[in-house]
Amino acid sequence: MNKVHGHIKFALVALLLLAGCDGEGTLLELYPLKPIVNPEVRTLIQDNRIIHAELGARNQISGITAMGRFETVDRFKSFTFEPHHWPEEGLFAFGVDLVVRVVSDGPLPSLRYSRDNGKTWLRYEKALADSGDPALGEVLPVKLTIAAENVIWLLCQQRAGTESVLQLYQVDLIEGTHKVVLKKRDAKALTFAAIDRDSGWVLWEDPSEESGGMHILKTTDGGRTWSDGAALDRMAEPLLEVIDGSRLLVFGQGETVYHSADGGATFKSITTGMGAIRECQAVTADRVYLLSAEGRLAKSTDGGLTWSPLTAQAGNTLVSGSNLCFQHEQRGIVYDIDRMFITEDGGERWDVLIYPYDYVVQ
Amino acid sequence: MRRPVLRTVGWTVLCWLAALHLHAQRSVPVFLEGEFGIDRFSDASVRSVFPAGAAFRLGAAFALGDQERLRLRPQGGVTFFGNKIDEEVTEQLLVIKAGVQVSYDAFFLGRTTFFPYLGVDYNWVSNFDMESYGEDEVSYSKSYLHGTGISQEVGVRVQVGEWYAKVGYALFRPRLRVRRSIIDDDLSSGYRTPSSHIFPFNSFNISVGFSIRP
Repeated sequence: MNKVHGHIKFALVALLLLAGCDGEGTLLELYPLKPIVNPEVRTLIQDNRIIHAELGARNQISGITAMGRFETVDRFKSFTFEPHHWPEEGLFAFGVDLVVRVVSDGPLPSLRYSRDNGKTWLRYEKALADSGDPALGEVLPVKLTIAAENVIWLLCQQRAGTESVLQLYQVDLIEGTHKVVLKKRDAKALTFAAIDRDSGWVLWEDPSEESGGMHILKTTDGGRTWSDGAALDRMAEPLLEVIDGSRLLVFGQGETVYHSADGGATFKSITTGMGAIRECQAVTADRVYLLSAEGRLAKSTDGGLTWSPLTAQAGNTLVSGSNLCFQHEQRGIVYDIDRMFITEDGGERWDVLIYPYDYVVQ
Repeated sequence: MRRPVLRTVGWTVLCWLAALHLHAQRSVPVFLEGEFGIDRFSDASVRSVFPAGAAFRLGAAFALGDQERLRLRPQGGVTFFGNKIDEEVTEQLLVIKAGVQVSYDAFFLGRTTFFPYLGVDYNWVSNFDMESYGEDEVSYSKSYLHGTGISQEVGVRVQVGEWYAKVGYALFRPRLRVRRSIIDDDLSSGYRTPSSHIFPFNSFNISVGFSIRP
């Protein structure tokens, strides 16, 4: 019997010793977790930055980074990246299969364009200036716009001594021609917006009027004739958004927003409650989205008259960005140099596509 | 999840009632049985965290059937796994069990009797940290993972006199839920975490115990 007791004691001691062994890691580390974004998207944001992105058919998202082009059809579960150098300098505008760039590399701006998302650039050979102007001075690009049918509008400011001349060009790349569609002396060019080849609006101010306001000019015939619109209080860096042929929005850097329902003839002051606005996109005549300077989103369903902020959360991540691109009322992206979010239901729910999580930017 | 629980509880109660009924009718012999042993997970990943755990069981075994060779043992017990993470923190996995074990006096060699056995337990599982900052200063974290599940165990018990040794294998795959704050933290870090997950807690066990007639 004593022998049995001895064996039992030995077994108990052995069991206790074995039970006292320590392991490695924790049980929680065995709990499954799945990265929300593909870690490989670091290619697009680590030592790189997103410059432009747009939505295409069949869930396609394509865009440009400082170091190359990307494209995905499965929300970046996989994507292609084609390296090439992106020129940093100049004003850029993005159209359908067309990127246009204007740079001030002399007294006159020069125009370059790319039909392969910036991989190769062609130069618009003709000088962008009215060669008959005897008082030709430095011409600075102010706003570059690509309207429907890839029509290019370029708003410039010409300075000759103390004189300021506003110039607006329309460029046809297919024909290889351009024309000055507006030249206005004693006018400081602020911004421009266009719908197509015919309809466009210029916002300008008189530099001699110290307490003067902003003025609007409108054309509906491609710049052959211009009509004066309403005068507005002066704003710093105004943003002009055309919703349709009759509805316009003018955003300032503060809370002030103007809405016109008659093509710019009259404006009324409205509020968005979003502070300074960075970007605005009219998806339809009624549905308009805007992105505030702080990266917050708001939506209007009545053509920009009233606005409601969107509670934009993707999981625990706040949706924020400096650019937005909606393909239609429901589907859109918001992005910045290192992040991208997508909604498929008009901004109610968001998913993260690209974000600088720790496991992405190592 | 509810149906298996009810089934287990039902069977346990039924066994208890049957045992008590028999005991009342025929004065069934009752043995007090207790055992202490070690559990070792068969899954390598779980075993790497908890190489081995200490198990303790206690039950009252009713001797039934022909020559009282069938033993029916309602039982309870705990299995404890510890993993020292650093000087102050020890991760713990605690499994509390309640169920029933059936064994049969199959044959004997000399004074040694062999009891194959089958057991079913309902288990409550909790995974947490114990933090100790001195001799008296001990605190426990909220559980990281918790859940329940039914385990089945088969094995053999070798008894000499009032002492026995037992070897068995338990099938146990509990669904454990993770703490909500962990899901939120993971989400903030860019990970999507499911609210629950089935863990492979199948294990081998070796125990020594006693069986005495009070």
